[in-house]
Amino acid sequence: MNIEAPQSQAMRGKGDAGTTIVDCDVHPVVAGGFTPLYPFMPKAWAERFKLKLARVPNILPLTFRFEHPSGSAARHDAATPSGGPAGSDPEYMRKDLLDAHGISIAVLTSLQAGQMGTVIAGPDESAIIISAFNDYFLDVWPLKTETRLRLAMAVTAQDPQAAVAEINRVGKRPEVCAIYLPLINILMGNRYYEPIYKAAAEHGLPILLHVTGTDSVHYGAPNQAGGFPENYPERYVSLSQIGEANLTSLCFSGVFEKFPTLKFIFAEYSFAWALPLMWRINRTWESLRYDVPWVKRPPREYVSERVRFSTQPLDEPHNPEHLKQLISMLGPEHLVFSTDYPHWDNDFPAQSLLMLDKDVRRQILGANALKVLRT
Amino acid sequence: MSGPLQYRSPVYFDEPVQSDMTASTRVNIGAAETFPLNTVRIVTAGKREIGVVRRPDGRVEAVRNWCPHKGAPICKGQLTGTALPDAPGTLTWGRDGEILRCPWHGFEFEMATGARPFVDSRMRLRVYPATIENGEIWVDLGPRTAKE
Repeated sequence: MNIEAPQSQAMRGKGDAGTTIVDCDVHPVVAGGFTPLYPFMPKAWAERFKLKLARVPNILPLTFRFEHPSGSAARHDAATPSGGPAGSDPEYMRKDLLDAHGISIAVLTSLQAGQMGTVIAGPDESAIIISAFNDYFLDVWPLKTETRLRLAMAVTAQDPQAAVAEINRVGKRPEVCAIYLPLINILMGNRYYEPIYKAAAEHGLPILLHVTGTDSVHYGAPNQAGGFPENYPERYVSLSQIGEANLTSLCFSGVFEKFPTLKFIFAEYSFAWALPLMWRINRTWESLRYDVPWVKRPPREYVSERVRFSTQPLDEPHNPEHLKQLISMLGPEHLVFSTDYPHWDNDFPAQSLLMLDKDVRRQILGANALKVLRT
Repeated sequence: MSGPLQYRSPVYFDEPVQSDMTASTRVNIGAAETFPLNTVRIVTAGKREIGVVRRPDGRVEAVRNWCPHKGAPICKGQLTGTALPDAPGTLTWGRDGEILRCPWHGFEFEMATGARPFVDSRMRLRVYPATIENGEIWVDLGPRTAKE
């Protein structure tokens, strides 16, 4: 597919004209609960969900400890012109995200699908629902004509064989650029996931990870360490633990050796934690390599070649130079830009990473992602 | 590779010892028959402790009892083999009896060369040339260096 950098945009950062910007974390929404999905399901399953009064989890209990304090993680100002939920109107997304911020490629990751694919729906249900979500975005959203929008196709984590079937079913579509794997409480180095990794590698698609909202809420979802967080900020800050646990698992499991071309994108876990974690992983490998002899090379080498971290939510130290220094220490080649549109904790290009040298910033804004996404 | 997650093994860390060198750096550490085969025996040579292994073919290996990582008495660790790099799920034993593993942080060194097997590192265990002459083991402690 052609990737063109828009020439001039109002919200572009100073000096960004001509820069290819790839946004690795955008959340499309299906408005109206399950109803729009029924045409994309076998009738028996649609009837089952109708009987269950199924709805996507936009409706929460009267209160919920992890609800965003403002009532929604989605920005109130990103509601669609017709009053629909933020992220539900591709035309508005085109205007409000792609055009406004000069985005060349936006990777669509459906958290609604992710929630269903992890633990909320049952294993069979999740496979049906996720296929419906994928088809909805591939057929209803204008992905064929608006080629800036690409889909991270979802798969169910509850049934690896069903996930493989789904990858084989739609993974060849040119609109698909990655595979969104909504994790359950099995770490990524576990051989449980190997059929999914094999299919992803065969299709040249990276595995994209993103929290689903079920984390530390539902039984069977990944839980944060140490205990049950009490409120939204506490949970929000510690979600990176799930990224840390899974990166560690990947590093010591041999997955990188078993699937030598497979790449991974850690979306919205941010990245500052990755530097000390990789120090420790490498240091431990130097001591205890003989316990994991399938890790044939220093883990940092595998990570440098095949793992990328999305930048959002950017940390904002008092002295921006400290973040610049951290990125330099980590290696900017590990980072891919993301906005998290339409959520509250966004980073947009014009305000992001301005302290970096121009070439480094350009690399993070777009070039790095083009090396890992299937474009 | 430059930049990415750059991690280097800790720099060479060596024990400061008083100069004990005489004109000759070769030291007789005793009768070969007092050194059991394929076993580390720690002896004092000058002001150093060294670990010595006598092999069945007559070779003798001698290393300093000082782990270059953090100064542990490495010769009190294990003289062993190790798991060779292999496919996931496959455990292959090799280098049996050739590897000295530090009792502190587990760093492995080749007893014969001082190099770290399977780890690209500048860190080396100090080794000393050793030979059996007329039934006696002689260790060459080498020229004094600034570190010594």
